[in-house]
Amino acid sequence: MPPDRTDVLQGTLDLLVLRALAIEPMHGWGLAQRIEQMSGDVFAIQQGTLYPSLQRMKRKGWVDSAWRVTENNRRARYYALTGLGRRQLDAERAQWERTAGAVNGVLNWAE
Amino acid sequence: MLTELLRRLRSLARGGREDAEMEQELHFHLEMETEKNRAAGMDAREARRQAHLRLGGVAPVQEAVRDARGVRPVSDAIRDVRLTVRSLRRSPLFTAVTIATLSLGIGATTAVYSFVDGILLSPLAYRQPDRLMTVQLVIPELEQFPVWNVNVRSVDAWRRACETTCRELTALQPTSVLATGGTPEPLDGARVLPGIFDLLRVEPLLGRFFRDGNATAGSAGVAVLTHGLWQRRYGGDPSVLGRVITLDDRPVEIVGVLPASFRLPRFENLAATDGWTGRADIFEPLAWTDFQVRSPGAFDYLALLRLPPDVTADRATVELNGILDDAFASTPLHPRAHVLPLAEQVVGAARRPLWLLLAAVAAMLLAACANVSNLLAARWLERSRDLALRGALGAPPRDGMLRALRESLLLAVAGGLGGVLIAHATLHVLLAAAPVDLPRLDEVAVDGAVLATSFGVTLACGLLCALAPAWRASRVAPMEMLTVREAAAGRRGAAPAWLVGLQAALGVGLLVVTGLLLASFVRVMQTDRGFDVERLLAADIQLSHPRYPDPGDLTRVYADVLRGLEDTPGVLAAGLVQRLPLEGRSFIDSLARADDVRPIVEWTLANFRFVSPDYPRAMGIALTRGRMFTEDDRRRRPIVISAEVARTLWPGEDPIGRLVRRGGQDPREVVGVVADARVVDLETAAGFVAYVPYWELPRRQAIVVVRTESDPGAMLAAVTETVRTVAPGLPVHNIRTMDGVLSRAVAGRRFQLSLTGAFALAALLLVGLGVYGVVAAAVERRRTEIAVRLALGATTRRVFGMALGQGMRPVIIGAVFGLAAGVSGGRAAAALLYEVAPHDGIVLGTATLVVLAVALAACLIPATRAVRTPATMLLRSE
Repeated sequence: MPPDRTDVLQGTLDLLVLRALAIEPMHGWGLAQRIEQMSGDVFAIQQGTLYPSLQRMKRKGWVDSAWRVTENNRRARYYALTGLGRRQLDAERAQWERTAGAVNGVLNWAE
Repeated sequence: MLTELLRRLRSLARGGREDAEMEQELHFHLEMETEKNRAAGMDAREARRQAHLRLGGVAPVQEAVRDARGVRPVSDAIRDVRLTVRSLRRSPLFTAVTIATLSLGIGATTAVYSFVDGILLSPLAYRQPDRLMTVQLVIPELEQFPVWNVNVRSVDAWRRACETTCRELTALQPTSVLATGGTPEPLDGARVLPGIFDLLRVEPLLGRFFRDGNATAGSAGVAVLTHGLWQRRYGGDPSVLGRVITLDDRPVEIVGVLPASFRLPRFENLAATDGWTGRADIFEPLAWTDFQVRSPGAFDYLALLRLPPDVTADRATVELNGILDDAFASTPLHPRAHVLPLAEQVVGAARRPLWLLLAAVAAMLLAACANVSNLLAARWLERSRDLALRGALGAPPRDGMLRALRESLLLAVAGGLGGVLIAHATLHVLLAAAPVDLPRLDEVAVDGAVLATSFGVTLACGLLCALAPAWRASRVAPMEMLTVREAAAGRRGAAPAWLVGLQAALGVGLLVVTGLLLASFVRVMQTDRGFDVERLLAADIQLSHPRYPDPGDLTRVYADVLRGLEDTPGVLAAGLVQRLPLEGRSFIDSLARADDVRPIVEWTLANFRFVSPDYPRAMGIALTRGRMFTEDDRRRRPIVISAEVARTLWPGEDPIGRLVRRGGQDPREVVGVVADARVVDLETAAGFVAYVPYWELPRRQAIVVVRTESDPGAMLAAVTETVRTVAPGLPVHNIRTMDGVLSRAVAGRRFQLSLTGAFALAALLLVGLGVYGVVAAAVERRRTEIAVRLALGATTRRVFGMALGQGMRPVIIGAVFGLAAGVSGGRAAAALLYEVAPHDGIVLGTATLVVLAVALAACLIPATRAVRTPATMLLRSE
């Protein structure tokens, strides 16, 4: 892993996954690539944590999965956002923006 | 919560498929990553390696996904159980022995508990059974036998005067009638006041019960059949209603049939009625005459009371007593009401023996658990190195204990299943062996409540058995185990010594109780009964009213029957009596010297027996003075008294020719004295017994006794045949040998003794196995050391000493506790003991010696093996 890349912030993986899936249904590997790409290759997804996270979200009903054929004619499990997942994305995004705003507020505090 | 559980279960069920899909998915992921790496210029191997590294391995991800699915604990548990099963399968002998031990223990406990549950714990099968009471009378003036059943005078007074308490008070009189018309069959049953079925809250299956109007003396007969009789004699035919049948040659109309579930409460303790078995076939309405109401005696009725919801037994007693005061004001007896819960009356006598049996079987089960625990601990000792290794690799110590617990619970569950099967299969054997006077035997079954209890017992066993192995598993020091090979283990026992001590204590305790019961049994059997049970037959005969209307007819028929029997080849003597020895007291009246001036109520009560002149000879009761009455005495009033009467009334004098009085009657002349015989029951001296000629009180029911030359069983047919020839149509029933009567009298003791004895033997065997296990394991571990010592000149005696010390110390300590437990067990069983004290020295000593001897033998076998170990053995094993 190149030294300038960083782990996904604790607790934000779900948010990133939900956001990526909001674009279109994807399989696990594709999801990892897409998130890294969307982060401007800043984030390195720990691929091993992606699948348990997907499993958890599936259990909560935020995503759904189905086996489909990829463009290279391979079978892969695709994950898609559900209605519930979309609402969750909104909620997590609002939460994130509040947190980020607060963190920025602290950092930019003029003395 | 529930949906979550269901989801988990579903996902568990689908677990295999989910796992396969995830594997496929990860596989796809790796392929994609590999391709990407290759596109970036890596060679095939490096590309694949980097892909794996990036993912972090398939298995850990799989694990993490399973965790996320939330099935991990369940699937882990299943895996653990599988592992445990596999490890148990690897030692089939060990597994079989432990499961068999636990099966037998739990099986015996379940079977005994089903008795306790069916007889003592489950409520009587009536609605609101706790409101049902029996009422008896305590008559202070009759201090020898103060407790009596009720009589017509008391019941009549209660029903007239008592308003709140006795809204539901009823009485019944046990009867035995002869059904003719078809096969003659004696039927047991009762005459009952009409309210009895309402009081017991039963509805007729067919027809109706009695109306109040039925209960007037002399009215046309009606009867209600029990379900059993209806099925047996009338083939379950519904058209039986309205049919007129013949009972004692009276026409009686069947008006109703009781449901199969109906049971007449068994008043074993109460019944003092001739030949009444407590079985019920048929009920007729009870009616009484003014003469009976006026009579102060005749305490022949059983009274049942259903307490109103707001009335306590004490308040009822007060009200009943107030009425008795008025009703008996003018009589010499002043009875008090004795109100007792029906359940207590029915099962009270069975309570202590059954709880004792349960305690005995529980002790045996505990000893069995100790043994299994011991075996498991030994297994864990073998695993010490394995455990130490795991510990060194970072397994938490908890793991070993959990594994031990799992193993023992699994064994216990298997044992519990086996135990329930054993209990189910052997219950009928126990029921057949159970004494018939044990109440509610038909309600004993391995049912839901029993199963729930044995499940609880099973879990408790699992936990108990886990104690020693868990203790062992948690005591492994990795360093020590990995460096020193066997010496370290040798210093620690395989199992805590207190386990063996516990077994020894239980063994001694059970043996002491068994010994006390055995000594009692032997002493009861050796008691001088005063009569001879060998080759003696007894049979009930019953003369119906219309065929022999005149009392003179009765004595004539009896005389004919006796003569016929005496003339039958193979018969040595024949006699007639109204109540057999050992079958309870009856015909009690006061007896005193004719010159006694005290009021009659202060006289001594005696059991009167109305007998034929040859009765003592047939029964084997020795005539010690004077003579029996003869046919020539018919015009006189002779009496034969027991030795006890003679000793008390005329100490040191000859009673022959003296005069005595029975109650208020004219004086009688004593013509003979016979030996004291246990005419009432086997375990208490009969007190005063007096014999008077049967022709003075001819009754329609009598018992003939026949002393035979050879096997009485072979004479059954001849006896029946003789009676039939002499008196055609005279039913002979309930033919029994006196041996059988005696056997029945000690059936309760035999049952208690054989079960307790079996449990004690099992415990003894377990003590032996336990000691053997401990010593053998110790010797095995120290084999090298022993060989070295012997090679260096130690005597075999020292080696024996070591083995004995190891095995016998806990046993001796345990035995001391066992003696204390046995003595308190004996105290609790005091009611069952006969002429033996709970701390009887011989019993205590023998029990201790037996346990010590077994333990000693168990020590010597492995010790002998140890001293025979040749020193070369040392070289080889190193």
